[in-house]
Amino acid sequence: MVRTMGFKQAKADVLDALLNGRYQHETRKGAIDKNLLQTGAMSPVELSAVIGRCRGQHHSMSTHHQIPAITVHVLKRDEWYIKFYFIDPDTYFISVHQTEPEP
Amino acid sequence: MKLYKQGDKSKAVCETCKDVISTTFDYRTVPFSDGSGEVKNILVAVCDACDAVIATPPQSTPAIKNARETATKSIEVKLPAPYLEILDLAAYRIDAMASTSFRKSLLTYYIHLHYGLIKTDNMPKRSIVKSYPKKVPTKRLSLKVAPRLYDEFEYIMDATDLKTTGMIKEIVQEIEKDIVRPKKPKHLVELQRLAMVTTA
Repeated sequence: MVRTMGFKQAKADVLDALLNGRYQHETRKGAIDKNLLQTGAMSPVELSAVIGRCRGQHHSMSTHHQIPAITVHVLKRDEWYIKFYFIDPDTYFISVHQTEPEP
Repeated sequence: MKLYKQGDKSKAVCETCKDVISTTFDYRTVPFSDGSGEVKNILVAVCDACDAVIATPPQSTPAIKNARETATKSIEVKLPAPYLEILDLAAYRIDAMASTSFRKSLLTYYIHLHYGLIKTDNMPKRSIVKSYPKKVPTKRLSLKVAPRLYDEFEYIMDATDLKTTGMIKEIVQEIEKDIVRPKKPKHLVELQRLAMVTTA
C-alpha cells in the first residue's frame, strides 16, 4: 500500500530499507539515468550516512507528479539531493545525486 | 538482505500506465539515458500491464556500475569560476531555458568541432590563456563522455600539445569568442536545436 508519513518516520523507514536491501530504483523512459545509488557510484552505507545527518529542515514533501496519492520525500543535505517514496513493502528511489555547491 | 528473484511480484509506479501497477521481476537489457551504452541482461521490475522496465533492484547495481564504467570516460578539471560563468552565459544566450546541464552538450559540441577542424588540417588558432587573481574561486567541472568522444578529446589534446585543463580552457575561450562576445553568435541555429533536444 502507498503510505504517507512525516520526516522522522520517513527517515527511519528509508534507513531501514537501505540496511535490509528492501528498495528499488525507479527507471524513467526504460533507461538508467543519474541515480548514483542505482549506478553504484554511491554505496548504501554512504547514502545512509548522509540521510543520518538529515534533520527536519533538510526534508520536504510533495505529491508524485503522476500519482497524487503517493507522497514523495526530498532530502537536501551537504549538496546531496535524495528523492524517494514508499510503496509497501519497498522504498523507491527516484534521485540520488549531488547538486551544485552554493556560491 | 532482500534478494529479488526472476518471477517475483512487486508493485511500482509505471509512468506509461500512470498508475501503481503490479510488476514481475525478469531479465532485460537496459540502456543508459545518455545513449552511452546499455547493461545486458540484468534483473529488473517489468510492468505487468505494458511490459516496460520500470525499476531495478539493488542486486543489479554491480552490473550497472560495471557497464557504466566501461561505457563512459571522465574529464575532470578545476577551473577559475569565470570559465564556468562563460559557459553558463553562452548556454543562456543559446537558450534561456538551458540549465548548467547544457555545459556538457556545449563542450562536447566544441570538442567535436575542434576534432573535425584538426582532422582536416585546419588547426584552430590558439587563444591567449587568461589569468585570474588567486582570490577568484575555483570550481570543479566533471564531464562523463562516451569513449568515442573521449578519443576525440585525447586526439585534439595531442594535436595542440595541451593537457586536460588547458584544452578545456582553450575551448571555453573559443566559446566566449563565438557565442558570448559577438552580436550574432556562431552556430546558433544548430546549438539551439541541440539545447532543445538536451533540455527536452
